Amino acid sequence: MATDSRGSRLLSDLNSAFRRDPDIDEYDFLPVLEPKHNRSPLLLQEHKLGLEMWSVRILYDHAYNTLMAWRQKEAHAKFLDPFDLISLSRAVVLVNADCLTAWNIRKELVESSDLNLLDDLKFGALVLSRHPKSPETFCHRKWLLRRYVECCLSSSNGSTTSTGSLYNDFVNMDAIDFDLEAEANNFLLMENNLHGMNQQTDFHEVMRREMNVCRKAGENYPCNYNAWSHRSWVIQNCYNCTIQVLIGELHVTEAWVRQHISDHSGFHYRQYLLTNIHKQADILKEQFSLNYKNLIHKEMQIVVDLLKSFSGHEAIWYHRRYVFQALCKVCDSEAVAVEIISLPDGYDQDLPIKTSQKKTKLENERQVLLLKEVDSVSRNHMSKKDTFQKGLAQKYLDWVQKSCRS
Amino acid sequence: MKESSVLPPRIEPAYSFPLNCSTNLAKGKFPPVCNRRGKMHVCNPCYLVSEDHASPVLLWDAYVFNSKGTPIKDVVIPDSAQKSLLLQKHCDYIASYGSKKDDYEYCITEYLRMSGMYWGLTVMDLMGQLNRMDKDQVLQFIQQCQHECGGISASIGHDPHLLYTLSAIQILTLYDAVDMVNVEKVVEYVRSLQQDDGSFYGDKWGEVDTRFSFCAVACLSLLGRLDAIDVDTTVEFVVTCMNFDGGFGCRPGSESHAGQIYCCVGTLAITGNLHHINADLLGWWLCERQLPSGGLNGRPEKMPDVCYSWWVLASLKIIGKIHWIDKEKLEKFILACQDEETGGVSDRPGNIVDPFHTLFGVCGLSLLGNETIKPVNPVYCMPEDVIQRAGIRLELL
Ligand SMILES: [Zn+2]
Repeated sequence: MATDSRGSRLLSDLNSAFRRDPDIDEYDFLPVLEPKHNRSPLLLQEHKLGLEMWSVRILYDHAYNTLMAWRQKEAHAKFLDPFDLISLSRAVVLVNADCLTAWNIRKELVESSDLNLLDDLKFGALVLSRHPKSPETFCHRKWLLRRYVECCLSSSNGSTTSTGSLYNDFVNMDAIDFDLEAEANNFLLMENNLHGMNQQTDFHEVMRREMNVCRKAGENYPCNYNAWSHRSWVIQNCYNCTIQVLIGELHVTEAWVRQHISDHSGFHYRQYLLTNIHKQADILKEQFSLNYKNLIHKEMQIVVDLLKSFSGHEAIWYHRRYVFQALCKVCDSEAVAVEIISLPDGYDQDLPIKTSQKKTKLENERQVLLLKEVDSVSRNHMSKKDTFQKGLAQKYLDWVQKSCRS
Repeated sequence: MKESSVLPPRIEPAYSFPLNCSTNLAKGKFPPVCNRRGKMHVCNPCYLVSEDHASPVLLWDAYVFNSKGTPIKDVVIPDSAQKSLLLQKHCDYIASYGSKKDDYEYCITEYLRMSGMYWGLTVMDLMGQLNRMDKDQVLQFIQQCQHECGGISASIGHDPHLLYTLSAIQILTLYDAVDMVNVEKVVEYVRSLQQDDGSFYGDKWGEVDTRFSFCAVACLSLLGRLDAIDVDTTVEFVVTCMNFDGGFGCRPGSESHAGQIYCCVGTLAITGNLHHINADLLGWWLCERQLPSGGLNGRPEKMPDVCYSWWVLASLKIIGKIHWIDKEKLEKFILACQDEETGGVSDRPGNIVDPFHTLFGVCGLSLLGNETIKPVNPVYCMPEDVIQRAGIRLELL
């Protein structure tokens, strides 16, 4: 393959851009299709990097071929030191974020301590600024985060604090007005005054940034499946689905979904949070005096508001399906709980009768809930002129009547 | 076809089911739909599960407005759109695709080359022209992509991954030549990626996704070696990814997504566990993916896309609900995505074609009953005769 000498020059231009400004936070390809002047096709301004389009292919060809020749251990392949590998793989994934092998080379560099884990998280955020749904970029981040969490947990194990302490640090926060970002900042101030707690501080700061990365990716690309599923992965794997964090996230994403009413992924994220809060309903009640049922009612209120203001959005109607079936489940479990409490001793012999009565009662409760829901949707959406919204409302009614009967 | 015959059973006679908000829409003004073909745009045919490909800004070009002006994400198929299947053109397009090796697009897609070859070769076989491809070169390439660990990579020198291991085994099965690689090592590689909870890593770095469960199960079943993994826990894991809407996501609790649904339904079909599926509920969700244009999207409020005609349609076929969608309209949508000059199929009418959407367009038409194409197996996305020859018999719902 004929090597284009411009390739290696472009690569060193790119390296010097990152040296001059380690805080580049966005980049893009500029629509300049041919070299027009004698200057470098790389522009760096206020942490934004621009690459003229014509140079992208040349840079990529050079970086990709050099890196892959090394990886294949080809006879003519150049010896590359860790710095070369970092800069070549950086050039490759900036252009082609889904090049799995280039990301894997970076994982190996992290393992050998030639590449700093936190630096690579920061670099991945930059890649996502231009490729907001790149699956391999998110995949690489998960690997980095797993490694980071393991490292934090194993070192806190050795100290006086227990393994779970990182997660439990959130316990002291006010759950109801919990704003993850603001609270994390307060937390940082508080923590910085404490001696020897830097590791926890870093942990929360890293996670706060991670949430920000997900939010930005979700904003740059609507219905971003990978970004939102990454966010729920972080909640589960880095925060162990701690209830404080779930409540905090529920709080901060409310404004977001109100502004992104077509984004089913955003709504689904709230479904994920609510489902996991439900699993810890007892803790919710004991520690925060919050009732899961109230949270579901509040969610229904958000849905009702949005449907009133915005017509014709399938995503909101789909979210209503989730909320309503969750409401039905709460209703069932409450009915069962009442039955159990009111069942006096010695009634075991009558159990078959009791069970059938219980079942009828359950069905009745459901029926009432369903009738109310059908009535409310019919009144508010079926009499309007807007035929599309009416169609969506009709599909919703069909669905709940089929799925939530009992 | 009369409309009532494509509707699923109604629960209440007064209610009309999923389809057809179409009659209500689109009577108002349309923004001009611009033809994006010819613009500089590198299509990135994603790997096993595809997301949509156009830029979010461009999507507005194609918004359809209902009578009140609410945008509905869909396309308008112009009257001039292609209405017949241009099989010979598609064969020529695929046959010449690999010959432009200096192309930037060819170079930048090397990271998924093995899947790209699977798309091209499978669609050629379905169109009856596999003999036009260079078999020896393909087989030799696959041999060179097998690694010490047994896994197979997208291209020579790239890292092995389950996605490309499956693509390679699919190609080898197409050519009835699985012995060209070390099968025992492939089986060992797949087995080594299974976790205690039944899930699969995509490769040694530890990403978990239901797509990888499908890759593992499809790959081993083609090799007749399903016994190498713990099938029970595999199924258990997939079932934990089922949502309240009957759909499946990439991990437990993840959003339902047509591509993930295909993978999960496929895994359950291969292992004989389709009874875990609530076919009415899932079928409902799937056929709500059909838009007024006839095209299917992969999730609510997304644009229609030809590759979803495959993920959704194949899933509906497996669970026995394919009659729930309007087949004629979908056929019209897929045919409108052909490029009559270059051959090939794109994601939406007027966009740039690629081998990925060409395969899924042709497969979709095959499932819809087009008899000029070989019947396609909905689980493996391979010609039915090849699956029969491999000795695989699956029970669908
Ligand atoms: Zn597509």
